This record gives sequence, structure tokens and C-alpha cells, in this order.
Amino acid sequence: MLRRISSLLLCSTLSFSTYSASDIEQLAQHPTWLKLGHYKSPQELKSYIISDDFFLSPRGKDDPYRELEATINAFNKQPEKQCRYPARYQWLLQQGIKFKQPSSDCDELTQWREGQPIHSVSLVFASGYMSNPASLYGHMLLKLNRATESHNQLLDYSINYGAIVPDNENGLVYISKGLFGGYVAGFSDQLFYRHQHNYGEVELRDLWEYELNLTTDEVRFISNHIWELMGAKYTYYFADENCAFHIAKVIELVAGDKLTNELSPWVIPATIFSKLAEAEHNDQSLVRDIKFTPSRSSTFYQYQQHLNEQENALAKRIFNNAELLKSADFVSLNVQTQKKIIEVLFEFVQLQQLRQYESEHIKVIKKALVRARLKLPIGNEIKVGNYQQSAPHKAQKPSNYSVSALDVGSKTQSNLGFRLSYFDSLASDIARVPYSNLEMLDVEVAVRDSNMYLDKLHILDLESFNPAYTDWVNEGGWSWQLNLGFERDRTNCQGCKSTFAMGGAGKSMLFNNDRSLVYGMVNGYFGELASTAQLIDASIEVGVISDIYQDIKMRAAIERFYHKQTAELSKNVELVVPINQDTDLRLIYKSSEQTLWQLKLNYYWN
Amino acid sequence: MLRATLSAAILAGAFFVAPAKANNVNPWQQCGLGAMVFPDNGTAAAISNVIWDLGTTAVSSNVSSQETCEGADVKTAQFIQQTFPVLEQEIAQGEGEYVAAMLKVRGCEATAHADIVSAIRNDYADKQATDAQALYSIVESQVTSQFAASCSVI
Repeated sequence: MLRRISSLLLCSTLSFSTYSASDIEQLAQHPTWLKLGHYKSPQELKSYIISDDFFLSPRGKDDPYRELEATINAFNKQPEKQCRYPARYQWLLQQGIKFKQPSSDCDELTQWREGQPIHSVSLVFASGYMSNPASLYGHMLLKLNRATESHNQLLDYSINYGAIVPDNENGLVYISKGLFGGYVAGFSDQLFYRHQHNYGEVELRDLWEYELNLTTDEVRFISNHIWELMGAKYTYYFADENCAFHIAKVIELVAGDKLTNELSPWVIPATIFSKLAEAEHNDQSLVRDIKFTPSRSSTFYQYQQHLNEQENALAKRIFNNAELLKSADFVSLNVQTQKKIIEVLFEFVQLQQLRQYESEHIKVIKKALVRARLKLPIGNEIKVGNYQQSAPHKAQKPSNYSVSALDVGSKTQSNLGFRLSYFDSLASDIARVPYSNLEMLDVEVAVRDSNMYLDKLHILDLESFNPAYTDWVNEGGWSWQLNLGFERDRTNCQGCKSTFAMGGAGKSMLFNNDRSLVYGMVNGYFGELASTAQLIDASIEVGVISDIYQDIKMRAAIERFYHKQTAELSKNVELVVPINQDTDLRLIYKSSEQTLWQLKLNYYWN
Repeated sequence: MLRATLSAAILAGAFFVAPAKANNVNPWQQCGLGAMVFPDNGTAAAISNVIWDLGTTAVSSNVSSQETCEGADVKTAQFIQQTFPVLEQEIAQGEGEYVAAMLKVRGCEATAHADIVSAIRNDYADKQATDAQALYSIVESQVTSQFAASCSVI
């Protein structure tokens, strides 16, 4: 009743409005109004935004009607509120509401939006970054495009969503607050050069930009809403209410619930791009264009392939001795070749600078390269048209169900499996770091002799082989692995169970045109180790990962434990045959005291 | 390393003389660019992809707080400081998207970019500049003298 009276009062304040009280109530339940307030759902009318100053009504945070009422009142009485809430104003006008106050000029907003006009919207995917656990899954940005022929894209607006973390935060606090919601988060606005430089040049992460197929009015609506969101505070949750989720929510303001509906309880940026690529909008694909921006390391690997054997050798010698830039060996080359060699060296030197190798030498060589290059004519010699990297929406989906048939020591069993995320070392290389493994919550349950057993629970399984992709100095790094979990090891003994934490470090090397990798690692184990009944053990592991034919891959490894009583090596071989993007078939062989064969069908999903 | 280089550049900047400009602002000294753009904190670098300092949530994309620190010259200095390694490479090569963006930030007409880059290259070769502030000085000196007609007045 109170709400009805308040609606009548509200309607009496609207100028020339044809809206009735019931219309206003309906409008407050409109999906777009709920999205503008970031209410969780029509069933859960509580906003994701926690800052009071985002709302005009003291009850606006969990009452979209009160917020609409307060907004309409504000637009009638305070014209400056149009400039604070331009998306709300734009939408309410489109709904036919007319206000007593004329439209404001909103100089600051107009300058921001129209100074160099925003003409389109893109979502940007930054590939995973193995050096930071919080970045393993990649990152998503929103870009408001302003680029024209004379205004390059580095000056586009780049909108980021992230948590506000104090400097020098303790690592454990960082993880626990990130996972369980102890950080305040929000949107920030930079020029795109800052992100492109940070990701591509500093963190060496490739970028993919998905430009959206939106109308001019929709682009304006999103831009206006982003303006509203600056300063709004959220609670950050790494697993689900993260950058990908909240940026997707902004796009859903015009695209409908195509990106975040039917999401699992965890949201990975690649999942949003997968949904984006499948989505339709205004009877067309939601994605208009996909553009790739290589990282510094991707650029170097492509560039150095433009040198022949002699040029490559000379470039490496120059890297060791910058004085050679003045030698006859170099200056007698034609200008094009000199430029090519310097361009490759520039890329390599930048990489070494980031990796902090021999910093004094790097400074000297960089200075010499700049000086030598300034003497040559303007213009790049090396042009790379096509990079081989595929867009992230083509990647294998992160979650997995599996069904297996096993034969262990002439007894059979069936296994059912589930993996939360994300990829293993035999998955497709698309949109991930090749020769790496990032699996979280990987579970297999066995059905054997009419009983059910937990066969495997890997909480975390990380591997990074980090091979050298060229024969230049300082390329590649340490290989490492980390695994935490439980396994029932039937190849060693009946009923053997291990609960363990393990870590390993070693080296790897590529061969067969980078399609195969051989590695060696020294591993340390701690826990209840079944095969030796020890608390601590160590092993040496040698293995090979190989791309056999097209996408058919194989991994084989042998491992010798220090405490093991017999001389028997642990042998593992796994062959994967992709059936399509969402399914693969694997044949696994393990042998120690007994032999295990496993035929496994994996289904991958978002 | 990058941060260390830039920090060194900022410190070294104390020995350079600011170029003559209409508003007499040395962005490095008066606008606190070093601390604002690249705080001397290695941890922050590692987590910057997901965790971005929201102290800069102002919609204007301009992190400066003083009125005198909001001009195109300050934004140019900021751009140079944040992208110096790649910018230096592009200036040596005479072209690139970062150098084009820098001149756009400084308010220089696209038609004049090639000539400005050529002039900056000559100065760069003569002065053997090795840090962000030295490059800024060269750029500012060119755009306020020889190319004043093609670039914004600060």
C-alpha cells in the first residue's frame, strides 16, 4: 500500500509522463534496470555493488523500486544527476519518461566520451601468466575503442576490474581473502597503452581482442554505464565474482543474459570468450572481429625466423660483443640485412632486460643497437603477417567429466572422473602456455567389486617445463612441478594409498621442430607414501612429451624413487586422441610392480 | 629490472635541466610521476594483471592531482616513463605504434609525425640519451620549437 502511494506521488512529479504507478513498478523489475543496478537476479534483489554512494536511495542496494523512484526524483529536481547517471537517464528517456529538468550538457562526460569519440567496444583476453598464481587463468579487460586512422588504439580507454590489495600484502592473506571475499574491488580506467605494455612487454602475455557487433546507441549506453560505475565498490571473489564475471555483466546490459547464465560456480575468462564467440545479437554474431597482439616473446620467436643461418650466427655474436656492430662483418651487409639483424636483437635484448640477465651487458648492447640503428634509414624491415596462435574461444573447455575402463593386475574396474579446471600437458596448446599443466580439483572415483573407492584427488597439479624455443643464450628456464593430493596406487600394491605433497625442479629441451620435449626432474615427496611407507622420499623423473601427428599427443615418463625396495621403475605412458574440441580419448599405461591399462573418455565443458 | 631502470631514470633526472615550457612544469619533479606511475614495489608488478591500484579510478584517465600536472606535456612524460624501453626502440627504428601514440598524446598532428620523429632521431643520436626523462626533454624541446605549429600549446 505504501509503495502504491509512493508510486502515485512519483507519477505526479513526472512531467508529461504517460506512465502510471503500475508502469513504474513494472519498470523497476525490467531486466535492464536490474542490470543497471547490478542486482544479482530477479529472484535475489541484492546488488553486487556494496558502496552506498552508488545508490540514490538509502534502500537502493536491495530495492530496485526505491532506487528507480529516487532516480526519477533526482532527474526531476537535480539536472546534474543526469551527468552522474547518464546510462540511467538514457534508458529512462528511451522508456518514454519525460523529466521536468532539461537535458544537461555534462561537459566532463561529453569530453570523456566524445573528445575522441568512442565508436565500438571490445573485450580483451590476456593469456595466462605462469609466474603469478592469480594470473594462471588469464585476464579480461573491456576496451572502449576510439581509434581512427590518425588516432591509434594505444589511446583507447581500457577498463579493468580488480581487487584493491594493500602493498606488501602477505601471500597467505592474499590467497584467503581473494578466495573468500576479503577484498574490495572495482573498475578502473586507463589508456590501453598501459595494459598492452604491461601484459605484452612486461609479462610477455599475448592479447586477443574481440570487437563486439553493437549499434551506436548500445556503444553509448555501455560507455555511459561505465562512467556510472567508476568508483563503485564490489566484493572480490577470485573464483566466480572476478574480472570476467563483472565485465561480462556490463556487456549483458545490451547483449542480454548470454554470457553469465548457466555458468558453473567458477568463472574463467576463456569461458566468457567461448560464450561470446557462440552468441548472437541483433540477428548477427555478437563478435565482429578478432585481433591478435603478440607479446614481446612471441614477436622475438617470429622475428628470429627471418634471419638465415649466417645472419643468426652474426646476431648472436653481436649480442656477446656489441663492438661487432662497427665491424666489416656487419657494416658490409646490405642495409636491409643490417636492419633485420638489429630488429631481432632489439627484441631479444628487451627479453633479456625483463629477465634481468646480465643487466650491465644488456645496457651496453641496447645503447649500441640504438646508436647503430639511428644511422640506418627509417622503417621496419621485418613484417610478420600471420602468427600461428589461435583465439581463446577455440581452446579446450576448462572443466571435464570422464569415464574410464581399467585393467589392473588382471582385475577390472570402472572410474568416473571430474576436473574443475583447466588443462593438462596433453591438452590442445590453444590460448595457454605450451608444455605446462594447470589442473585444480581433479577427482576419480573407482567402482570395483561392487564397491566405490576414491581413486584420485589432486587438489592442485602444476607443471611448467619452460623450454628454450631458440638456441640463443639465456633462453628457457627451470622446469618445475607441484602436486598436492591423494592417489590409490594399485601398480605398487593392493590397497596402497598415498596422501602427498610433491615438488620437483629440472630442465627440459625441445626437439623435432619444437613438437617434442624431453625433460628431467628431481622430485621431493612428503606425506603418507604408500609404496615405501616413508614420510619423505625423493625421485628422479625423465620423460618426453610429443606431438605425434596433428593433435595426437603422447607423454611417457619413468621415475625411480630413492626409498623403493625393488629396482622396478615406475613407468607411465599416456596417449591422447582428440575426437572434437570437447572430447578426447586417452589410453594410459602404468607399470611398476603391476601393470595398469586405462581407456578414458573425456568430455570438456564450460 | 624495468622498474629499477625507471627509478634510476627518475633519480638521474634531478641532474637534467627542464626544457623551457609555457607552464614551467617538470613532470618528474612536480607531479610525482615516479611514485604515481610506477611505485617502487616489486610485488605490485607481479600481481598487476588482476590487481590494479584503484586509487586511480578517476574517469578522466589522468592520474595527476595538481592542476598544473594535467597538461599534454605531463601525459606525454607519463607515457614515456611507462613505455620507455619499447619507445626507445621505435624511435631508433623511426616508426611504430608507441611513438605515434606518444605524439598524439602530446597533441601533434599526424601529418607532422614523420618529421618530428626524424628530428627526435637526430637529437637522440647526438645526445646519446639513455633514460625516459632525457627522451622527454628531447621530445618537448622539438615540439615546442621546430614543430610548435603542429603540436598543442601547453
